Amino acid sequence: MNKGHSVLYFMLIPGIVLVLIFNYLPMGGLVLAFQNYKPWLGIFGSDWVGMEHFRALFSREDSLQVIWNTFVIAGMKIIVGLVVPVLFAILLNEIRQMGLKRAVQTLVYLPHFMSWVILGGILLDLLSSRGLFNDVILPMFGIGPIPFLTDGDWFRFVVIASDTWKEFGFSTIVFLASLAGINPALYEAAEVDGATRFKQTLHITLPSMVPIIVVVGTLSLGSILNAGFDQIFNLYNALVYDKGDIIDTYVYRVGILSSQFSFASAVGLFKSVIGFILIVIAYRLAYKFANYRIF
Amino acid sequence: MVQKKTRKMIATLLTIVLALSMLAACSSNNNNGNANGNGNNPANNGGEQVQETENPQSDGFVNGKFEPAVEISTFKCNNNLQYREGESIQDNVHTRWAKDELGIQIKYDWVTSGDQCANKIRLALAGNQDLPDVMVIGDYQMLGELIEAGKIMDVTEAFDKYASDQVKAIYGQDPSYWFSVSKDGAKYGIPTLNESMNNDSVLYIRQDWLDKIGMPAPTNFEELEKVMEAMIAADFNGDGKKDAPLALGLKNDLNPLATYMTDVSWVFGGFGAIPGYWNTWNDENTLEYGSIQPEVKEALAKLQEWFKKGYISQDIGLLDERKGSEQFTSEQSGIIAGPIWMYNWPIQASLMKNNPNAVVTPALIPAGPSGKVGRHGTTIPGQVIVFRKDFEHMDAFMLYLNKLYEYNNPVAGSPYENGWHEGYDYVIKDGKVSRARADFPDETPIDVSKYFIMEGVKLVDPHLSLEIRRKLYNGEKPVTPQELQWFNTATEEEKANPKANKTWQAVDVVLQQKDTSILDMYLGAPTETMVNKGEALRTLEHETFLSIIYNKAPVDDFDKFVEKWKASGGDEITAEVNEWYQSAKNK
Repeated sequence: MNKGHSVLYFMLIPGIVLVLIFNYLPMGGLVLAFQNYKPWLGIFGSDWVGMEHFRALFSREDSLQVIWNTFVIAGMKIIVGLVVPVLFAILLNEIRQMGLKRAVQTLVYLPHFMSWVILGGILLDLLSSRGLFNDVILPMFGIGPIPFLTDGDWFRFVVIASDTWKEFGFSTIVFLASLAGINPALYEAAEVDGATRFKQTLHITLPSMVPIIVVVGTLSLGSILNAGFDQIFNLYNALVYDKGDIIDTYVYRVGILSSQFSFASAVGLFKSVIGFILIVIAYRLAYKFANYRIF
Repeated sequence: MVQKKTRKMIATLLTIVLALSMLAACSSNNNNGNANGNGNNPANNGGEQVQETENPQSDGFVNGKFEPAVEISTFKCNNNLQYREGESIQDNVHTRWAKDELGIQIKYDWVTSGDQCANKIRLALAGNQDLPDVMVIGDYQMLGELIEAGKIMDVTEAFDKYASDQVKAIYGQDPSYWFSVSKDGAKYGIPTLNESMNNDSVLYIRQDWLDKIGMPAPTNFEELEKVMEAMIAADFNGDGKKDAPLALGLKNDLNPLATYMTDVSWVFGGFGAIPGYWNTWNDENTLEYGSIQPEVKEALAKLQEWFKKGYISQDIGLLDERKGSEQFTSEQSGIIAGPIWMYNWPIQASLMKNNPNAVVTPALIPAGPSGKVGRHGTTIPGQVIVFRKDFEHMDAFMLYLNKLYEYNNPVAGSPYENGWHEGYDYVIKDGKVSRARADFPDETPIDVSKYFIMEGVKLVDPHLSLEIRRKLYNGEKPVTPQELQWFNTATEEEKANPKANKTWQAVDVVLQQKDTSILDMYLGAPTETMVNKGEALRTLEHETFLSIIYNKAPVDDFDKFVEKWKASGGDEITAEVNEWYQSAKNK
């Protein structure tokens, strides 16, 4: 170790301390998941119950359905949320008029900053039986009313589509940045060889984007069990529990509404472990296929 | 190489994490060990002794006040109060009043925002800190925890000894007032009492629409169906669509079928049971769950029929109470059930703003096919005042409570006839009492009751305001200061013709059917099985019931639900609930 670096290491300390205090110390609270925690007895007075809460999680008839729902919704969100911004970035990149390009870019990422509480209300008004879609748009095509929010399958569709609509503009920025970094010489060479725009996209643009796509995909894999509490909580109802109830809304109803802290911690730990495993796997894959490395 | 390095790195990180969590565990262990030692040994509790030397015995009760002043510590879950300049939560017109008039020094140990309140109390419990002398608890589960942890006092004796005749009379009206705090013959606190029937439903109907179709207000479901049919056909809002005439909103995680606005409980009540409510449906000594009664099946079939006929909207499952009532205020629907206060808001505030010509009348709940009328009732006991186990000045607190009850419904000529404190909740202008905003200092009236230890609780006989308004509606002249205050909320026109005041009319209507209120009689903390399985059962129930109403499942699915409910924990819950019921009933 170079002596001259010691000052730099010293400057690292505040950051490390912060991470330790706020990210690592609270992990001690995970012991709640193995206890029958009662607030007035405290962590050290509550009974140990081992894996009981995990057993409860997997033995409840409805919780398996809830875990499956979470996988499906979050998985679809990740896939669609990756494909759409990539395509959009490529298309946007083809626009030659800078003003228009910037305007579109700004417009599509604005929804990212809106909260689901507001969007939930707007969607409710748009998609209800008397909403804009069922009352105005669909009749124009001769389509009867669609139970967007009261039928489980439609509900999933609405959740995934609205989430993509809200977030794709923001993800597009990352991909646009990577497009800007592609060496123009490659395109010039391709043009000389007689490649069309489509061929250029296929053989230059996409391959150059693969590393960043893999990175974004990898990072989002960690949230495979986060299907979006705010969104679903503001949109769901008892009719779509079978297809739309996710771990977080379930934990909210079970854990928070009826103060089952231990159960809620167990579910939280379960989610984190799955997320951790997936991140490790994805990191390996990213390393192998895209030569991406953090360490 | 890189892989090896990574592995090493992870290993190091894990070691650090492990070491740290152990460290954390050790350090909190120490703290907790100490705290535990204190808690188990109240006699050795240092804090207690100090307090004792500061406040000698309460024997110094002279001329209606304590001398020297007795300190009562408490907390407040509202850090958003308004104060006059120089005042604060610790020192304001009410704390000074309590000290000067009663010799009671109110001290707030901590003040927090409402949403942080439960957490703060739980933290205090978890940390085994000394609790404040007096606590107002709204969460029955926490109340159960406090009782179980042995942290709070049995008040039976103190209440009998120190409560005034007035307070005793009010609390003696119904033994069920005490159910929430009763356990094994002891009373672990004093329940505060909500206004009775404040959430009971009446039916609000568009009178102008009824007049146009030439029908009277429906008295039973059959007539109601005819009215709804006619309303659909008439299309009063002229949008050319078949709007659902009955406004419902069934999005509520706790109980969508018995709620405040857009209530549907009266449809179930018309058959004889309220979903989600524990009551003695079949046997007066046994509580049973409302949702599994066969009457509910009939009501669900009726609602399914109404759904198919378009009497209720396809969106009811998506709408909560506020959104649901918009169907009524935006003139799609002509019928909605809701509490007595609903005429002011949202009906007058929204509907009359859209359409000043709209006329709405509160009407009686219509009867079901067999002539039964039922609606969900309002539980009178609400938040509970509890006391630290070693609290020594129950006499002082009871004096405070007695006086608040006395002065909240003052007799004519009482110093509190016009309100609590001049310049705060009323002012004298040109020799007359005024409550107009502009007449107050800084144009800000102060609601003194927010400074009480029991903030936001009425502290009057729960039936008082209903009785007053019924009297006024029936044309009796206001006599007592309270009656005058209610009378003065009316417009000049209504004062001349009290029958024109719709809220008073709603009160009159709700009282005409007072015997039809069905109460949720379970007032205990969630039982063990409720905590563990309650949510799964509730999910199952709401899913089944809504699917039946939406005609996505046959009505006979109800029978499967009942079987499943009983088998997956419902029977255990019923047993636990009845154990509580017996223990609460036999004081």
